[in-house]
Amino acid sequence: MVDLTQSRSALERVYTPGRFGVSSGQPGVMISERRHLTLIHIEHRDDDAESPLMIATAVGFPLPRAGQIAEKDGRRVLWLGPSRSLIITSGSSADGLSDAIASSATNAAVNDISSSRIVLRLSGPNARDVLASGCPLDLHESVFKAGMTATTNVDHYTALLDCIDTNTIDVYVARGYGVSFWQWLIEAAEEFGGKVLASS
Amino acid sequence: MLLIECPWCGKRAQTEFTYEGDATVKRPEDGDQAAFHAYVHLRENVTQWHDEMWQHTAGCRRFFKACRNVTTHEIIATAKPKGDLPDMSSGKITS
Amino acid sequence: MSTQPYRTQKGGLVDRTQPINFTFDGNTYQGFQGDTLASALMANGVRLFGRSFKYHRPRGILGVGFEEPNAMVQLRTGNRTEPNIQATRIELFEGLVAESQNRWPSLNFDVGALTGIFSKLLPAGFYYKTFMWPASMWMTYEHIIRNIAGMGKSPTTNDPDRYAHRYAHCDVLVAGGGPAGISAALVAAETGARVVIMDDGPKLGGALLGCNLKVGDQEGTTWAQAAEQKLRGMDNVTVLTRTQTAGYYDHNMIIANERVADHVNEPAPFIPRQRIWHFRATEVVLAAGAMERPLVFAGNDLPNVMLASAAGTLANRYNVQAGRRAVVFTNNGSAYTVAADLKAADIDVSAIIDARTDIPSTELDIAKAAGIDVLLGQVVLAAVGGKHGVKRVVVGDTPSGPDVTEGQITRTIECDLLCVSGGWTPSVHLFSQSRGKLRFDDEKCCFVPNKGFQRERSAGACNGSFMLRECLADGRNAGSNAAEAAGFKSSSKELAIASEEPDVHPMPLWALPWPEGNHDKRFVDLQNDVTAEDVALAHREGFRSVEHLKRYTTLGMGTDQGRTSNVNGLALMAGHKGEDIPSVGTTTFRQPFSPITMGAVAGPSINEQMSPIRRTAMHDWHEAAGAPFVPAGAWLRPQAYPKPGENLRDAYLREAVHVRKHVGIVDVSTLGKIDVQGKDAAEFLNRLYVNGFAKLDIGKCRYGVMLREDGIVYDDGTVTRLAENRYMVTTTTGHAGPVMVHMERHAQVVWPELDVKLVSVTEDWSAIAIAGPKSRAVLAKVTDDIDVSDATCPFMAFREGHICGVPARLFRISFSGELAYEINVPANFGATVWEGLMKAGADDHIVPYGTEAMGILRIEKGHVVGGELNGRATADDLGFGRMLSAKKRFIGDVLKDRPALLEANRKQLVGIKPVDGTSQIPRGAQIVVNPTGARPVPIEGEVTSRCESPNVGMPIGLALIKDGRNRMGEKLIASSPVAGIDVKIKICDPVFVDPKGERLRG
Repeated sequence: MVDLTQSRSALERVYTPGRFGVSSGQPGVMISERRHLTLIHIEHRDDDAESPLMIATAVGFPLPRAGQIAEKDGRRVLWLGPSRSLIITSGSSADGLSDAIASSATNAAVNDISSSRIVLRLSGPNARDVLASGCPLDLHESVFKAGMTATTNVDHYTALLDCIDTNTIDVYVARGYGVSFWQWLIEAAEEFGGKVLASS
Repeated sequence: MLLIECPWCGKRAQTEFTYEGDATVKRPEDGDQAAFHAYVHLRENVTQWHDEMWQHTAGCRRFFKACRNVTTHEIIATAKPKGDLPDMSSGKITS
Repeated sequence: MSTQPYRTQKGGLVDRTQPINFTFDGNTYQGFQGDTLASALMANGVRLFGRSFKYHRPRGILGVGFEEPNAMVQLRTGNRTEPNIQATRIELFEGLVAESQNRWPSLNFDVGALTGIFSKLLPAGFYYKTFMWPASMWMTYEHIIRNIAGMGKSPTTNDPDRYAHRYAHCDVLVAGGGPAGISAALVAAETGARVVIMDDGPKLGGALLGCNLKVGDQEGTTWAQAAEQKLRGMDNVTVLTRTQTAGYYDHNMIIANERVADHVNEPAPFIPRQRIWHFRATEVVLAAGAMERPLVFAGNDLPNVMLASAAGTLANRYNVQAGRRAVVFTNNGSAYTVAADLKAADIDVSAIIDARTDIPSTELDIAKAAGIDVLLGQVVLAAVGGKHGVKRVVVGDTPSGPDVTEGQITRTIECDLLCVSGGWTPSVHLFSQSRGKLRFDDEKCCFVPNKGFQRERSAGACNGSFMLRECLADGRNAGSNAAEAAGFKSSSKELAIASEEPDVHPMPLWALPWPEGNHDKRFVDLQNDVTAEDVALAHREGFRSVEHLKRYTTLGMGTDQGRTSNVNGLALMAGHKGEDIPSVGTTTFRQPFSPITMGAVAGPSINEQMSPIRRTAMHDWHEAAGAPFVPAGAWLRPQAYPKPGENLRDAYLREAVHVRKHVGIVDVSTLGKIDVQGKDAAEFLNRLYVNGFAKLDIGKCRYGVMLREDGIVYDDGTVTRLAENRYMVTTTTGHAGPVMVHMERHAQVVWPELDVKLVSVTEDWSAIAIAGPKSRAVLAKVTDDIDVSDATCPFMAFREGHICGVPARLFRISFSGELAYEINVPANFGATVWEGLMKAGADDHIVPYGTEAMGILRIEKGHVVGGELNGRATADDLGFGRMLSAKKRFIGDVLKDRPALLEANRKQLVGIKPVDGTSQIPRGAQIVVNPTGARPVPIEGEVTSRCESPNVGMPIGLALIKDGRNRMGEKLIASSPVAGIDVKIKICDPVFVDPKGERLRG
């Protein structure tokens, strides 16, 4: 009855590709929603040395160290906290992964939370400035570098940041706050000139 | 706004944290009413160094302890729940 | 159009090729690019800027920057208007409109000035003494006083501009862009450290821009400009001009206010007008400069009695002659340079009147070279003039001591400008905000930083190093020291050589005696009209501590917080007390340094962003269906779905009936959902809830109640066993966050030995309750892999499968008391499944229902929510007594048995009905026996929930009533003094509909 690849975005009503804000020159920030991602939340006990190995076997590589990201073959693992990770994947890399982890790392808690967040990719020379309008973390490119991740505040919102490269950061925000956060983000980006790209 | 060092995530802005009460009290698992009354209600009203419980709410969500001067807001150390904080009862580190 | 008669023709920092037109009090003037409003008005010969706060005395400018107490204006018009802005800090822009304040009907003819005639009747503490009796009249008095004494006016319509915030981090933050700050920033920047330098002015340079000194072989202004260019060109440096360092907070947090677009008529589209910066600095260099102090003598508030540094800056930087014929009155050396600068600007300087008798020859040489007479051992006893300025000064001998009250007149000098210098006050505000301790420097006659508290150091004038060469050296040392403390290696650089200038060497001189026959006011605080007599009065009446002095006289209050008045006031009080100045102390310096508009403080956190909204996956559907929303925490929930012609009440009554007759769906996504996993998950839940979960079968749900540790009911919800070691629990919408924290605390801190992992999955699942006799029929149409028959899916069963083709969790639970199910699907498919159910249920007349109908249905069933879970009720009070397990320990089990919680007369949950069967039960009413009886009326209980019940056929309610379960059938009064309604009610069972639960098991 339902095409399961056709999930609905929390931003359905507000997402409009195109330029916004200051219109002269190149846009300072580009925003695109990353959709159809599989998000798998894994947690194990701090004293459980076995589960990380089992998870690594199922995922294909070891879990990242604190504040870091590990990635291979379309699977990106973000450190969320001690003994907690979030796997970001999609398409065939995602198929059966959640079940595979759960069945091999039986002492770990595995939850598919693919619907729980909106994921926005911010890129461009002012991407960090836009986030710094609300984020108390040191986002300077010499400090928050590619391959680093942090859960922090962006304005009133709790956000997970995933540094892709110098000019690109993915932002994860609770789905329920999606529209409110979007409105904040657009307003914060307007002074730099922005462009909403087609979602992916 | 304070800068608080989460034992797992490092130094972060206070807005990411929630104060979660006195870290010196311990739940009296098999205690009587008097013991639980003390656990729930009785607190020292210190003016200097205080061992506090904080949670990194907008971060890793872990609870941890912080030794904070409630007058000056200095934080001399933070520790995991099972870890130790310095003894500041004399106003200086004694242990 | 004015010809700017007081503008000089050469030098300075104004651009004569760029004229700017502006309006002050309705008159049009012209100034130049680079002017402030104050300098442009001075160039046009305007001397009267406003009327004083209390006595409505005519006032001009005293200073040229932050220190200005008088010249505050109403800037701009309409929705952009802003009151109390210092004219000395407003950059001139084309089309600027400003008005003077505190005058009516006009600045030249001010009715309020009459208060000056009666001013003897208005001493310090006047309001406290006069308007306190009768106390009831204060509100009336206050209204009138505010009108007379009011300053500017707030805008009455919304501010059209936007304000932004920005967080930033740096290794070295330099607060202040004068010579000390620039030196510090240059040195620190060379080390590779991330450096931020901020200054309130439009360009770096600070006081250097207002004097005629050299750095090396460059003009000071040229040096500052080159330094700014260099710093701006460095990747590791951020230069913020037009930025006030407003506050120094804990852990080296610095708040600054950048006026991004205040220097233009209106901001360009999308550009914020102002920005608040939140800096976290590893090391801080304070280079905030110093402010010159006025001297206290009769008539010292006349227009054109101004600080020497102000007259000098007008001449040097703005090319404005503050007057044609000047007298300089000083107690220190710094005014000599200014006198020479004035002379160089073609102002006739009649004399330097110096209170000191013995001064260094360097100072005399400056005067001699400029051809200015110096009168040593002389003081100004009074300035005499009118609203357009000083006309002459009355001079006498330097008084022999503070007790001299009347001075002998030695001469009178005609002039139209009196420049005063009473020494310098370092700007220690930021240092003090950071908990730094001050000390009084007797030689320099001022408070200077003593012991710092955070990772900061002061440099230059704010550290008591007033001379340029000291500033440069101090700045360099501070910059290098800060960079090294932040972990960078600093290589010592050649020190720039600065022009020689006289050292300050002030002589303590706090208030001058009156000349014979002139007892005009001697102002200490110009902004608040506090005189030397007021300080004496405060002392006589016992208000002697600095904090009392401040509150009794208002000395040091207002927008300038006593920048030019504090030290003089403290010194006078010290004199009265016979103590030295440090033992009198200072008042507390608080953030912000200078006022910041509220818009900037709020930043983007206005309207919806003030408190972000949380929306369920079905939100857009609800909105399209015309549902009004009600907030539930951050969530918005649909209240009801009115059809055309229906009002809200019609709609929810219809929905409540419809669900019991047919079928309805309601969005319950806002309930908290927590995934609990681990070998000890069952044990963990056993300890959290009053009832047990270890024996709950896989695939079953159970209602659970949890207590707080003090034995009071905390929250309720359902617990479902998904697998041997996996449960999902729900919480109330309001407690979702706190319950999660409660569980995390116990898992991490209290019982870390338990193997339990917790994840909030509220956001991941959309939840839809489908309720009503037809709910099973509808459900059967949308699933082909879940057998929804009562036999395989009985009450309190849990099943997994697909609903509308979407992987789903199905819980057979009921809040409404009807045959009902709760469907959980991934939120990305929530709207799809909702629509699918509406479509599939069309033949069974399915309707959506909102929170109002849901509330009615649950009250009809006696289910508790927030009104009943009020933080005071025990499990037994709410009828959960039998759920309390005696076979296990759980949170709250000990303290629930405290004697007061077991009393027989406790308030218990009951139902109530109006005796007449029709009267509405008032919301929040108290239950009493006789509402008109003797006060205080004994309270029997309170109404916790109430509604009109279309299914019962009358208004009903839930109440907590003393010993209520033993009072069935008793008649009492539900009394709401707020609504003025008393309704006779009868106590009944809290379950109004289907007490045996046959419908929900159907």
